[in-house]
Amino acid sequence: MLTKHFKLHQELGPAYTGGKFVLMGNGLAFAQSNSEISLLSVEAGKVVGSIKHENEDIVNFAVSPNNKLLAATFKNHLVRIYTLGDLQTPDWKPESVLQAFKTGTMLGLELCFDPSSRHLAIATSDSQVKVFDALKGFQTHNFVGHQNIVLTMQFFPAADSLRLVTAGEDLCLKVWDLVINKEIVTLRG
Amino acid sequence: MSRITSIVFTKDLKTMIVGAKDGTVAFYNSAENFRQIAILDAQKDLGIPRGEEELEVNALCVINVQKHKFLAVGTNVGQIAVVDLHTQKVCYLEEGFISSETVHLFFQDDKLVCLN
Repeated sequence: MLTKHFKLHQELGPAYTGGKFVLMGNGLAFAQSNSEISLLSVEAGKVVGSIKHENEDIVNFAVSPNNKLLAATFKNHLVRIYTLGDLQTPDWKPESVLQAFKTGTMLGLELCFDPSSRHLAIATSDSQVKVFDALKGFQTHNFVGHQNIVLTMQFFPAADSLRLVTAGEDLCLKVWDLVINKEIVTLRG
Repeated sequence: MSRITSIVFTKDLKTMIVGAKDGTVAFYNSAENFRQIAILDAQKDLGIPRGEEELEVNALCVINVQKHKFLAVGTNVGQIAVVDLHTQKVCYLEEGFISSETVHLFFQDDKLVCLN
């Protein structure tokens, strides 16, 4: 069945130069370069909006599952959470900056939202993972345990289970429970 | 365990699937304390030929089509394999029209979107 149905639908020219890429609905996607996060029209292969701050380089970004928020980390240790508004607006810009705060003196390297779009986890350059209330901007958890930086992470996608899975440069995969505020599983090679 | 590049979950949340730089895809039972239940090698089990460098799994994407569940596996050589999650057998091996590294895979509107 799949052999018949998977055929090349469309091939797009270079509108992406590496970094994070998040596919939204309605033929739109966010893509990151050093200095900005671009909103791309995937079908047209064109930039239709952007998030940019003068002299501030972006490290990484994530979009909330409800598609209403975008969080970005910057090289100056700042985190900004934007309300996206209507992505179909011509020359789109984010509606507002909902929160702006610092991750201490560490870079926010990797980030993701939980399924409710309420919690934002940020893996920092000191190998810790900090969780923030995305709407109010305060820190709720600080997970310490990886011996090296976290490379990728995902919240467990069940709305009633606040668990975060992190995988680090230390070749460990850890599962953290936000309710009891501790690590519950470590998988090693 | 090698360096992990991708973590995804099946829609029923019972299985966590992890892709790694050593070219493996590992399956864990998330209801049983994340016990490892299977491991597939992209070269030996999925039939993706390696290039000059060691084969790496870079991107994973769970595909739900009606009652069927599939996993798309993207690699550093650009070839994509689609695995039937019920049988854990390859049901589609992309012929290699893209030769650069696959960095992201998405499934949206019945299409598998591949970013190289």
